Amino acid sequence: MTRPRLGEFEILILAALLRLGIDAYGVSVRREIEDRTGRSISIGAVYTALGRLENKGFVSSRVGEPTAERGGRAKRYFRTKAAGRSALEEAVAAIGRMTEGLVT
Amino acid sequence: MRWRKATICGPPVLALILLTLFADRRERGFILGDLEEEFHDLARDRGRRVAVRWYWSQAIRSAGALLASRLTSAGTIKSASAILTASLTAILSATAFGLLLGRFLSSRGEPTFPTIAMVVVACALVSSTCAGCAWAWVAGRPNRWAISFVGIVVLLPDIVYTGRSLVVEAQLLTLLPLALAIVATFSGLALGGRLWRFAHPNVLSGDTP
Repeated sequence: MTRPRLGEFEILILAALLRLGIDAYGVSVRREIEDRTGRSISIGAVYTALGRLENKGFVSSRVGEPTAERGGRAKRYFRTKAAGRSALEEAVAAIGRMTEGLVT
Repeated sequence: MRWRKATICGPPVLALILLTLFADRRERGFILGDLEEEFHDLARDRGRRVAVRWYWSQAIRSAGALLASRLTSAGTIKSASAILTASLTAILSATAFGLLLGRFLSSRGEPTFPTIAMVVVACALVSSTCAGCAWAWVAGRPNRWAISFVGIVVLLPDIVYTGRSLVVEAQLLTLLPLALAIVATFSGLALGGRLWRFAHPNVLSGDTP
């Protein structure tokens, strides 16, 4: 069975999750990608991509405690699983092989 | 969902409702919580007006992604019911608009179109094509021919009435129902998804029939 492939945005999401570690949730992931790539990202796109990654078995999630600043709503924290890390490494390596010598 | 009373310090209520319509109920609380957290941060740092603009931008942009995600993960019948609702909504609203506009133009005595029936047919055609293109987009099956057809229909008045004084009125008769159909289509898609869940409470999202 072939491993599911990663889309471009999914690569950014996985990288953000690895950088953020245990503090990775919707807000922090969105801000991390915006700060590092300069792209304006919607929270809906973040959750859509995280949902796809969870379905592929690359990401897991847990529910945190509700807070008043969030209107009494809980946070949902995400973390990368081993399969997700491997898929990210493969994707980055593939991009590296394709662009070797092209980009300085 | 637990509805919260809007306060003068909270996010804009209409944007909140928009997100509630389009977000899946399992993720809705987390998404709204994230947005409210950032809203309060932004309001504190840059003022409420900036925060409200940002929240609306997030709500509109997120609505498309969330709706597309729900429909592409839904079963075929669920998607079809949503699309049917959207198409009927678009056709009915555009037809009603066409009737009203045709009556208005006739009362002014200006022969912009031969009959009201042609106006109604044109409006229904444009709106139903728009609904079909919206389905193709959210279902992840973009159809270039359908999109091209919409473009041709919108430009048709320019082609038919070139050089005459009726271009503006004729263009309005295609652009306005098109805009109306776009609004009606998205509201219909959201409504269709809710109607399906109401009719089939035991069917989980993502089930294929």
